[in-house]
Amino acid sequence: MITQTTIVLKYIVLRKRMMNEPYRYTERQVFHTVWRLLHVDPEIQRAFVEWFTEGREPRLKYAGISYAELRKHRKMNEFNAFLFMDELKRNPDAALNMLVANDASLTAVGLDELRPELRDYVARKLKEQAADDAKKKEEFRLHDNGSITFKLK
Amino acid sequence: MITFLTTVGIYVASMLVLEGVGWLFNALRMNGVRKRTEEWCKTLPLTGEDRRLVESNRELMREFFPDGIENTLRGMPLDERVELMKNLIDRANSVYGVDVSVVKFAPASELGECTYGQFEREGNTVSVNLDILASDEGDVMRAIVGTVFHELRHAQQYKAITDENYAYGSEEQRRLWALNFAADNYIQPEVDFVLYQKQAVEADARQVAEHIIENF
Repeated sequence: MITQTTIVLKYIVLRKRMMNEPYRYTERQVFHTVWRLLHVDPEIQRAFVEWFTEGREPRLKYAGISYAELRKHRKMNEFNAFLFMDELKRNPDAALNMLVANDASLTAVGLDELRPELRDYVARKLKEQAADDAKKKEEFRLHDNGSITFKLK
Repeated sequence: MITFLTTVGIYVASMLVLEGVGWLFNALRMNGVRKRTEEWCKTLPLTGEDRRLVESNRELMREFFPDGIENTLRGMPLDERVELMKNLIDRANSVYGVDVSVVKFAPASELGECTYGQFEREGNTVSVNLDILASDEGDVMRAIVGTVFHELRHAQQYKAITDENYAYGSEEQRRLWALNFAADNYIQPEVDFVLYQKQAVEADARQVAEHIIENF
């Protein structure tokens, strides 16, 4: 899909933008968001690419909620709003329900704070996740230092 | 000529088979990756222990809201609502067996316009949005009461994975919560609001709260 390729090609620029103000994403959050954007509905992906490359404000609206409303009333940043539009399109009822009541985000728990019997399990799972992230990056040829490579056939 | 064409045909067929196998292998591998990506974005069903917790809290609800949430709160002055919620949190704290030591009622300017409540692990504090508590809209009143049980469930999740002497939670629950709370695994609402809602600790807290306030 051409928009997927565009997103992959723009990874360096996307990463830089997301890690700076006002977003200040971590490396993992950048990768999580890009991975999610690579799998959203094609119409939303097109709108995202148009926004990112041409600055065109999307006119997306599903289940009575528009992108602009998410930005203005829910204070979602652009990346978050695109991801939410995808859910509104795919699962409108569930998405609308999500908007009802929210609480503030929670804090992480370090390995050393966990009950002893949970530490090994979580440590092992985190290793698996790191391996999975590497596989995902391999699929789309994304690299942490911002370089992108393509295997020639 | 026939031999040549046969050789070419075999070669092409072999390449196609190899490509197909390679594609299938990769598809299976990435399928596993995708499944594991959402490993902590699932809602476990309530355990028997959870159902007993829900029922104990519903007894509290019957005591605090005998005529239902809307009928009890509508028209009630804000200071009385604050008092009611403070007492509810105090009692529910004991039912959950957690150590919430501070209850705070803060304005939307501090918590966020759309943030109904918050649990802060460091100070063992549950906060409630004062401006939202003042609302007379039916759905909002129900949601703010549900927030109490939602935040206390977060307190319980934390305790279940950090306190060796706290017996609550199945092994499956504790593992899932521990994994979700691991650094960088907890999805912030500012980054991905959808997966923030779907992640295990949030979906679980929502499920428990909904069961407690159902039909009130």
